[in-house]
Amino acid sequence: MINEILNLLGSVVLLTAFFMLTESYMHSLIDAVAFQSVLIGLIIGIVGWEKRIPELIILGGITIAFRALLIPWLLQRDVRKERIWRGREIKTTHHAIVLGLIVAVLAYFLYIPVYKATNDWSGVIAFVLLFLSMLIIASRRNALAQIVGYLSEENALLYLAVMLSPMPMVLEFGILLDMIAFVLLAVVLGAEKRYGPLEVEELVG
Amino acid sequence: MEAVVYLLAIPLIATLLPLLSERLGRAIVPGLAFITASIATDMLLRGYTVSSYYFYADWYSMVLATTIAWIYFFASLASLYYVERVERPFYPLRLYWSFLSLFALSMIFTAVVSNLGWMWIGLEATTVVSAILIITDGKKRNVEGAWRYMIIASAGLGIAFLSVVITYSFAGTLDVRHLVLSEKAGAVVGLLAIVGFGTKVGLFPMHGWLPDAHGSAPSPVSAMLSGTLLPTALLVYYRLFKASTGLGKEAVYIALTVGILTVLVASILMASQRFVKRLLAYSSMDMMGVATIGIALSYYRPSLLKLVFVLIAVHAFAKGALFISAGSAVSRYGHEIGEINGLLKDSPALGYSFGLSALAVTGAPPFGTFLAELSILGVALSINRWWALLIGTGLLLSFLALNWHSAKMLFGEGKGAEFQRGEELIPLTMTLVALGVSLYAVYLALTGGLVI
Repeated sequence: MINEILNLLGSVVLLTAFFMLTESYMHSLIDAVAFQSVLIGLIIGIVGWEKRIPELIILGGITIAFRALLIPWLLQRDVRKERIWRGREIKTTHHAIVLGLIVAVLAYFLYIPVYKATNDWSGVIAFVLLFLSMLIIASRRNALAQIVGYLSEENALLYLAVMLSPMPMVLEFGILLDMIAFVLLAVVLGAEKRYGPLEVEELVG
Repeated sequence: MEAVVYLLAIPLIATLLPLLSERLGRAIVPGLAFITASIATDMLLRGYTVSSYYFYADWYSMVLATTIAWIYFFASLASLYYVERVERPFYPLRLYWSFLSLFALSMIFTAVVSNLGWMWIGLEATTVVSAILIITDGKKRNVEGAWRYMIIASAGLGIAFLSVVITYSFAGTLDVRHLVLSEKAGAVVGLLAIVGFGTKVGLFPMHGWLPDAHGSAPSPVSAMLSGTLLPTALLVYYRLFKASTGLGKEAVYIALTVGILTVLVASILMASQRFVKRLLAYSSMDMMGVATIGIALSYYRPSLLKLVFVLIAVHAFAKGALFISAGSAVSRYGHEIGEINGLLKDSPALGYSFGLSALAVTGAPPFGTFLAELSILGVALSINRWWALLIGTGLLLSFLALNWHSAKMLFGEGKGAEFQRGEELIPLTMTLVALGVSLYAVYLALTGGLVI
C-alpha cells in the first residue's frame, strides 16, 4: 500500500518536472516547483514513517517549510516587484517536452548500471527527475528560471538519497542544500537589481 | 585533541574577526594565515598523520593542506594591494577578508575530514564561498562568471552526491578508511565520481565554468581557485578512485581517458587565447588533466602518486605567482595578451616571476613538474605506447602554447608602467618557493625519499 502511494506521488513529481520544462510564465513556474517540493516533503515523511526514522519525518517538514513555502514566497515577491518578469519568457521552449522525453528515456537506461550495482529500483524516478532538472537549467537563459531548475535538482537529490539509502547525515545535507539555495538567491536577486535580468550568454571564448 | 584542529581553528578566527572592521581584516588575516601555514609545514615535515573518527589525513592530505595554507597566506598579502584597486565593491570589503579565510578553511576542512559526506559538504561550501569572492568587484562580467560557475559546479556536485549515495548504499559506510567497492559498483561510482568531482576539478568536458570564473575573479582569489581548489576536488576524487579500483580496472580507464582528453583540449584552447587570465585558467585545466592521468596510472605504479602531489604543490605556487603577476599587469596594461608588452623591461621582478612560473607550470626542468611529467610518461610508455604518445603530444602542445604567449608578453620595448615594490615581490617570492619545493623534491628523489 505504502509503496503504491510512493509510486503515485513519484509519478506526479515527474509530471511537474515535464510541466516545468515548457512553462514560460515565471510565476506559475515557481508555483510548480513549490508543488513539487510539497510532494517531495510528503514522500520523505512517508518513508520516514514507514522505516521508523524520526529524522526523516523532520526533514520532510523542513523541506516543505523551506522549499515549498519560504523560497517560492521570496521568488514570487521578486517577480511581483520587477516589471521585467511580468510577461512570459521571451525564449519559449516548445520542443523542450520532446527533448525532456528523450532525456527521461536516456536517464532510465543510465539507471540500469546503478541498479546492477545496488539492486534497487526505487531510485529511478528521482534519477530521471535529476536529469530533467538539469535540462531545465540548461534550456533556460534567465537566472530566475535557472534557480527554479536548481531547486528541482536539489529535490531530486534528496529524493534519491532517501529512496536509495536513508543516510545518517541526510538531514544535514538537506539543510545545507537549502542554505546554498539561499545564497544563490541573494546573489542573483542582488545582481538583477543592478543589471536587469541576468542572461548568461554573453561570455565567450 | 588532534593537532590538525589548529589548521581549522586559526582560519576560523581569521574568518570571524574581520567581520568587525576592514582595517582589522587587513591587519590580522595575513598574520593568521602565516601562522596556519607555519604550523602546517611543521606538521608535514615531522610526518604528522591522523586517522580517527573525525579526521583522516595522510601524507597527501598534509601536502595539500600545507599548500592551501601557504597560497592563502600569499593571496592575503596580494589582497592588500588588490583591495585598493576595487572600484565598485559588490559588498563591504571587510566581508572580502572574511570570505578569503572561509575559503581557505573550507578547503583545509575538505582535505582532512574522514567522511566522504563531509568532504562533499566541504566542496559544496567552497563553491558558495568562492562564487561570492568572484563578485567582489561588482562588474557585470564578474556576476556572470560567478553565476555560470554556481550553476555548473552545483550540477556537477549533484552528480558527485549521487556517487556518494551509491557508495554509501554499497559500502555501508562513508568513512574513507574503510571504503571498498565491488567491481560492478566500482565502475558506476568511478564514472559518476569523475563526472561529478571532475566538474569541480575542471576536467573536459565539464570545464565550461573554469575560464569564466578564473578569468573574472580577483587575482588573489584566482590563485587560490586554481592552485588549491582544483587539487582539493581531485583529492576527494582520488579517495573514491582508490575505493573503486579495489577489484576492477574500469575506473582506471575512465580516469585515463578523461585526463588525456583534458590535456589535449586544454592545450589547443591555450594556443588560441586572447585574454591572459583565461589563458592561465586553461593552463590549470591542463595541469589537472596531467594530475588525473597520474592518479589513474598510480594504479599500476603506486609510488607515482607522490610525484602527482609534488606536481600539485609546485603548480600551486607557480600558478599563484602567474595569476598575481598577471593581475598586476592587467591593471596597468589591459586584459588582452596583445596589450601586454615588455613586462621584463618595465618590471624585471614581475617579468622573471612570470617567465619562470610559466616554465614551471608547463613542466620545464628543474621544476618538480618536470620530474612528475617525465615519470608519468615513463609509466605510460611501459604500459601502452599509444597512451604515452597522446600524453606526450598534449604536454608538448601546452608547453609551446603557454611559453609562446608568455614570451610575447615578456619581451619588447615596454610601456613604462610602474609597479609597487610589494606587488612585485609577492609573485617573485612565490616563484622562488616553487623552485625551492622543486629542488627539495629532486633532492628527495635522488636520496630515495620519493620512490619513483
